[in-house]
Order: sequence, then C-alpha cells, then structure tokens
Amino acid sequence: MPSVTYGTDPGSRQVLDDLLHETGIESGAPHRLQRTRYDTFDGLLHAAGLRLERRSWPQESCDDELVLTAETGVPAHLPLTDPPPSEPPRVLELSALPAGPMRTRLAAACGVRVPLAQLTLTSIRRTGEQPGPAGSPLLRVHLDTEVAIPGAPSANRTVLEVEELPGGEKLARRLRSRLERAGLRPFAGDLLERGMALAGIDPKGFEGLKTPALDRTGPALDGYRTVLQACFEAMEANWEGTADHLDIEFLHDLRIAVRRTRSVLGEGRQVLDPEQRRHLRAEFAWLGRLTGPARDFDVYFEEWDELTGELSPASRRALLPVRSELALRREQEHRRVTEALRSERAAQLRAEVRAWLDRPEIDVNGGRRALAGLGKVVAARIAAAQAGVLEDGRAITEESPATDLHELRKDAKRLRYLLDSFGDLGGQKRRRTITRHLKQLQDNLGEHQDTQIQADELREVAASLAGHEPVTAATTAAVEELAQMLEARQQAARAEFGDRFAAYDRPGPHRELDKLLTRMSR
Amino acid sequence: MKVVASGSIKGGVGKTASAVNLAAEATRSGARVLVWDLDPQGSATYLLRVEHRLAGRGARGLIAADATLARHVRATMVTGLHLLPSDRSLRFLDLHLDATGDRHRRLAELLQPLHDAYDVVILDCPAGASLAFEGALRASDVLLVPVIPSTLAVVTLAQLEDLVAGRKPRPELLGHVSMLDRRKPLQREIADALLDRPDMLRTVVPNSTAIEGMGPERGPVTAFAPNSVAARAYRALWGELADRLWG
Repeated sequence: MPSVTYGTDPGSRQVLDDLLHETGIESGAPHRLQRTRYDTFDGLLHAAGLRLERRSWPQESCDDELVLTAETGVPAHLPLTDPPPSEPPRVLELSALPAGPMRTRLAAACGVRVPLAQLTLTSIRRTGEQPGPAGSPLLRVHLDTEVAIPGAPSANRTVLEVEELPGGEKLARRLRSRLERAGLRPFAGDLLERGMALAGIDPKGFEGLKTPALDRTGPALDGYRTVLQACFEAMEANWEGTADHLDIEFLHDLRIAVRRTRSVLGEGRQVLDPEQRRHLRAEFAWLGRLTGPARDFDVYFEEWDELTGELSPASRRALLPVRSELALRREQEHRRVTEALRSERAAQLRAEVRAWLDRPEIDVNGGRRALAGLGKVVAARIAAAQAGVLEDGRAITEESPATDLHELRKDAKRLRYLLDSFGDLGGQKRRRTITRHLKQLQDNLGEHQDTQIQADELREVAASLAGHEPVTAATTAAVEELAQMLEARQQAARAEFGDRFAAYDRPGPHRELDKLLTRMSR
Repeated sequence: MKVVASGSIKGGVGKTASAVNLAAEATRSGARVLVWDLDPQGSATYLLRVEHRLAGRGARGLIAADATLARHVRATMVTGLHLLPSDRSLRFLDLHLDATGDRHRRLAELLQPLHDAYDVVILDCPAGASLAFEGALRASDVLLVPVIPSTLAVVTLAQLEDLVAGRKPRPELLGHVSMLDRRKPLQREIADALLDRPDMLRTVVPNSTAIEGMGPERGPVTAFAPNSVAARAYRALWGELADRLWG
C-alpha cells in the first residue's frame, strides 16, 4: 500500500498536532525506534524493487523485526525471536531465517550475496491509527521526531508518514490534501530512503568494475592510468568484504580487478615506467596467485549440487567426507587470503598504488611510448594478441596435448582483458560483438581445463583421505565416478573445440576486429 | 503465491479457527497474507474486526467479469494480514458462480492478479460441497481439512479424498486433528489412528478455552493468548504447513 512521507520543520509541529487531532488520529505513545537498512553490496534487493530493514526498539523488551517491502503489495513482517544484539548486525544471515516466503524471496533476489547493513537511523516514533467501523484500521500515521542519520548534517528533523491501508484510500487522500494545504510537501521515498540520500549512500550499490571513458588521441600513459585507477577503485571497494569473507562475490570481484590490473601492467611495456611496472607486476602477481585457490574452492562449492546431481543418492552420501575435506581446505585458503590482505605487504602495495595514481600527470614517469596516442598503442597490442590466438589456435590438431589448449586459453584471456579495458575506443557495440564471439571460445577452453583440474583435485583429496575414517571403498568409488563424469565433460569440450575455434576464426569476426582497430588508430 | 483452502463438508470442525490462526501465524513468519472469507456467516470477518460488507454489488459484483478483488480487500488488526470480507449476499454465491462462463475456474481467475501482492491466500470455505467449495478446490494448492476425532469426521475425510481424487489440477489434501479432548479415550484412540495416516499433519489442535475466547476477544489466539497451548499448536501447525509449501 502506498505511503507518503513529509519532511517538516520544528515550526510546523503545532500544525501537525492540530491536524492529527482534528482528523481523529490520536498519536500513540512515543517509542525509540532504530531502523537499519540492508542490501547486498551490489544493491540486488534495490534492483529487484525490494527494501529490507531491521527494526529495533532499544528501550523496550519486544522482539526486533525484519520488514520486507516491495513496490506493490503489503509489507512482510518477521519477528526475530533471538535476543536482540546491542548493535544491528553487519551481516544478515539468510540461512538463519525460518523457512518461508520471506527467506525464499530474499534468497531469490540475493543469490550468493548476503545483505549487509547500509544505514542505521534512530527516531522517536509515535503511531496513530484511524479505526474503521468494526475496529480494524483504515489509516496509519507515523510521526518521527529527533531523527538522527549518521553521516548527514544534524538537524531537528520531524517526519510524518501517512500509510494508506486497504479500505482507507479516501481518508488518506483527505489527510494528504490537508497536510499539503498546511504547507507540508511530500518527498520521494520514506524516511530510510531519505536518510540514504542525506548520508550519500547510493542504493544501487557497487556496480562492478566500470570501463572508464578514454581519449584515443590522448597520451597512452594517461589512458593506462585511468584504467588502472578504475581497477584499483574496484579492488578497494571489495577489499574488506574479501578479507572478512562476507560472501564469495567480494573475492570474485577483487580477482577480476586484480586480473585486469595485471593485464594492463603486462601490456604497458614502453608506456609505463619500466621499474614501476616490474615492481607492480610482481606484487599483483602475488595477489593473484594468493587468491586463486580460494576462488577455485568457492566455485567448487557453488557448483557442487549441480556437479553431483547425476550421481545416485548413495554416491552423493559417500562423497560427504570429500566435501568436508574440501570445505576445510577452502577455509584454510580463505584464512590465507584474509591474512595476506591484512598484511604489511598488502598495505604497502595499496599505499604505493594510491600515491602513484594520485600523483599529477606531469610528475609521472613513463616509458618510451608514454606520450604516443592511446588508440594507436592499444590497437597494436590487440592486433598482437589476436595474432597469438589465431596462430596457436590454428596449430591445434586432434593430437595436440591439453597444454596447447591451455596456452590458447591464456592467449584468449590476454585478448579479452585488452578488449575489456580498451576495446570501447573502437566502439562499444563492435567491442561487445567481438567479445561475444571470443567468449564462446573461452567458455569451451575453460570447460576443457577446469573439468580436468576438478577431476585431479578430487582424486588428490580422495588419496589424501585414504585410510582415514569415515572414508570407505564407496567414497573412493564415488570419487572415481565423479572424476570420470568430469573427464567425459572435458572430452566433450575437446570434441567441440574445432567447431568453436572455426566459429571464431572466420571472416565475419575478423572484419569486426579490423574495423575496431581501424577506428581505434584513427 | 500459495493458496490454502480451509474447508470440509462437515460443519463445526474448526475451519475458521484454523484459517484465522494459521493466517496470523503465517503473517508472523514473514508472509504477506490474505484471508478470503467465503462463508456468508462471516465468522473470519468478525474475528478479524472488519465490517461484514462487500463494497458495491455484493457477491454478484465480487465475481463479475470486470471484478477486481483488490478493491474489496481490507486491513486487519494484525499488521500484514489482509482480509477479503464476507457479506450476507455470499449466500447466493453459488447462483452467481453458476451464471458465469466457467463456474469452477472463476475464483482462481479472480485470485490471479493478486499473485505478486501476497505470499499466502487462505480461503475460509463454508461447510458443504457447494460450487464455491469446488471453485476453492480448483484455486488451491492445499486443501486443509480440520478433523475432529469422531467417527463421522473420519468418514467425511474419506469423502473429501474421493472428491479431490482425479482432479486436474489436484490440490494436496492435508488433514489435521482439531478440537481434541484428551480426557475422552475414544477421541484419543481416533486421533492416534488419524495420525498414522500420511495425509495428516502431526500437530494436534486441542479443544481449548483460548480458541473459544476468539469470539469475545475478536482476534487470533496468538494475539490475546500467545503462550496458550492452542497458540503454540497453531504455531507448530503453520510450521509444518510452511515446510510443505516452501521447505
């Protein structure tokens, strides 16, 4: 049901009291109310048209509650019967909620992400209702005074919210019209949304690593620094969430930013200062290596149900010790990531990069081609990367070893990162078309390699557990069954490779890339 | 949106008590809930403190071709729980349904636009095998049957099984023991036998003064006697039902 919220100043308080009295809506007793808004780091609830808040009454003995509001329909309320914490929890664990529609709706919107506290505001709230003839309410009015919003300039705010209930539409219309005649103006959204705006929090959340706008005729060094700046901002945004292992997407997004950084540094020969480049490449390679295993385990767990879905229930049960071992290893890897991200070395790296990016352009040393036009420099790099993909891909025959496909995967990744970072210089639409073709090849190469890694890992885990309780012959057999299924997928990917590569290596995509490069170099 | 019909051919078995108390519990568990009081007596409407009156042309308007249920919905004393109230004109609901093109599907069609607005709709059906009850079965995912531990109620359960069997779509029939008086050996014996059946929920709702108190208190037991045996039973019953619906 729609709610309309009005901001008021202290002078209009008397007008409000009179109006509430005259309209027969008696304000209830005052209660201190604390409201915390939750959303995932990337604003998935907001994107789904949902708003989640936790309400607490710190001075009273009643339960906290979660309130989930959609753009249409009645808000859902869920009392939280656990003893209320002294502070609103930073993370809302969906798995701790009782099975039911609220958890289902939240899980569907959030996927693997967890809702995090975004803003907590407090107020003194009084609520009044206008009852209908049989006693149920037709209209609800909330008056919030002493509203405190962290991060927003303090002011003696009073906010009135008119909550229209079914059957009370006329009453609500009448009250709103009276409020507006008295000089009160409605604002968009409710108090929490207003608080978010005042505190400078964007409900859309983190929108991923953005491709910055670049000038193809400007100095290459400036363009490289702009891309590195975007990567670094994405890394910074995901740093703490990864260190605290809040959900698996923080690490994923951090790794994307690290990989893109490494790629830009790798392609920065003759553009970036050689000494600086060498040092940063080494440091980011360390970060990349360090975070890889934890991500691999995350993917393993994400895909576990699908991976084992074709096994019999008995085989799935027999795999439980393997899954537990994988969970242990995953935890160890995440601990390693946490330690590394909080280490002195990481702090130094972040400080160095920040200082380098903050330095005025004129004070930044570059390589021999630092002042050459960005478009020309990058077009040459992309052309070289494409040549590598075509040369290695064309050389692969049915007899080629798996390592050749692995090398081709690396070539394709190099090209992909270049396109992701700089490809828009040749036109966004064209870049997307080329990326789509390339991605189909990458998916095939990824399936080929990842299934082999997973099969090897499974066998290695099973071997390390052999002889320990509760590993049985059934476990070993189930591991082998699963490993063989993965290898069958690998073989299928290998069988499909020829068609996939041929689909990439044909005049159409080549022409698109040529046009992209021509436009970039103009 | 899940639709649960609280119904039975037999009267006085606790259909309205189940509908109202389960709706209150569903609301407490974070669901957006609508109770549709299809019984012209309007007991659910009375208990939830809503006027016993439909806007406009009563039952005829409610199911007319251009009707929208949303305009009839009312808020209740329970935050998050809405009610589509009863009206005396519902005693002619079968006649009006009979006059529509597809009398069995009409209730389901009317509920369709509410799909995104509610998680659960509980239909409080009048006793008897009426057209309205047929329509409720057609619209429902679950037919929840309160069964008092008596021989005749068990016979009714078998009749309902026959009524539901072979339907497409077929609602899941789930019974629950209602109004059990543990002091009576025959009731205990029948209840035990009922609980052996796979289509019975495990929770037993006792015969209770708290449930009788719903009339004078005008509300679900959880609202005025939240720690009573009856309130705990309905909480557990909803937990079981929620597991079936979303587990």
